[in-house]
Amino acid sequence: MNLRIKIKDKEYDVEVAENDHEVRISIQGKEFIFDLDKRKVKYANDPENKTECAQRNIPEGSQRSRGEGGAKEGLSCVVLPKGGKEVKAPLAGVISDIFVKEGDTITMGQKLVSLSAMKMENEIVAEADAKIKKILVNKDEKVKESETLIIFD
Amino acid sequence: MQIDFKKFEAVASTSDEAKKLALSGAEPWTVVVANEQTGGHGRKGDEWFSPTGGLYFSIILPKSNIEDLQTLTILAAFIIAKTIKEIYGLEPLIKLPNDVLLNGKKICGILTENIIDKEIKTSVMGIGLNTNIKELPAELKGIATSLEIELKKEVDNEKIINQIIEGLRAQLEILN
Repeated sequence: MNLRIKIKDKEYDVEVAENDHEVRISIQGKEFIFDLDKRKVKYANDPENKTECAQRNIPEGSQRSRGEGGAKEGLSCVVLPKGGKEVKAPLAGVISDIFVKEGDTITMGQKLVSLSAMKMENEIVAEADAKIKKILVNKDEKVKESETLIIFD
Repeated sequence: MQIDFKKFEAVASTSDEAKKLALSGAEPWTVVVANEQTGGHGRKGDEWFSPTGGLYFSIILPKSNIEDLQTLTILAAFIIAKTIKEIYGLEPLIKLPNDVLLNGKKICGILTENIIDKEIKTSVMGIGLNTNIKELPAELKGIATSLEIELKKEVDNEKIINQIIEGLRAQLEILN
């Protein structure tokens, strides 16, 4: 469902899609997903500004008003330094292990890849729940700092 | 900050235990020590022979930047070599970046593991030191040794671990 809403003389294009488990609200390209089962903002991303909402509980009352109550929660975002729809190498090194495959649905904190660098083993874990669209690296491959390793759906 | 020793008879890996503890909120300078590791490992999952008698411990490190963690990992080799020299008068050799050798054979393994999402969530430094190991398996005899084999007597694991941890704490304070 596409809507145009006006707040203080400014108009916004809003797209709302929902199923039994989640409501997706897209406002000017910024997407917010509300997990209705867990009453949490599961994932929200602004690719332009790299703004991402932390997981936060949606109050009980919001389930009645669904998107409306959730949207208020979604607006209280925190700015994180990176993240979003891809995982990047935090430092240069060699991919020593890959624990996931394309198409996997992963949960926050799940091990994604291990990067061996500077005599240290760096376990890179998921920042949020997501689905893996593409894995761009192979085991034993050298990667540069900030190189994209994984893309999420 | 207080050092909090968590002692185990046997674990698969002290670093795996320490990572679990760190993720459930354990404080920095919590140290997991085991008399034996059944799945001790180095980088890339290489096995670390860990029978009873050796010194196996993993330290939850305070949050630090990646460069400081790398420096500390390299300095750990110097601290361990210095400890062995000071207590037992041996002459360990440091093979850069972080191997400690006695008579040309490896005596110690150091592995720092970081868990990272948008930032470093936790860092654990695992150290395996061949102390009171009387005999090594045939495949390791040419490349590894132990303090007991070199000194022909048992050593004090507690004294060694305390000195190493104090050395690491002092170094990290300087780095920070």
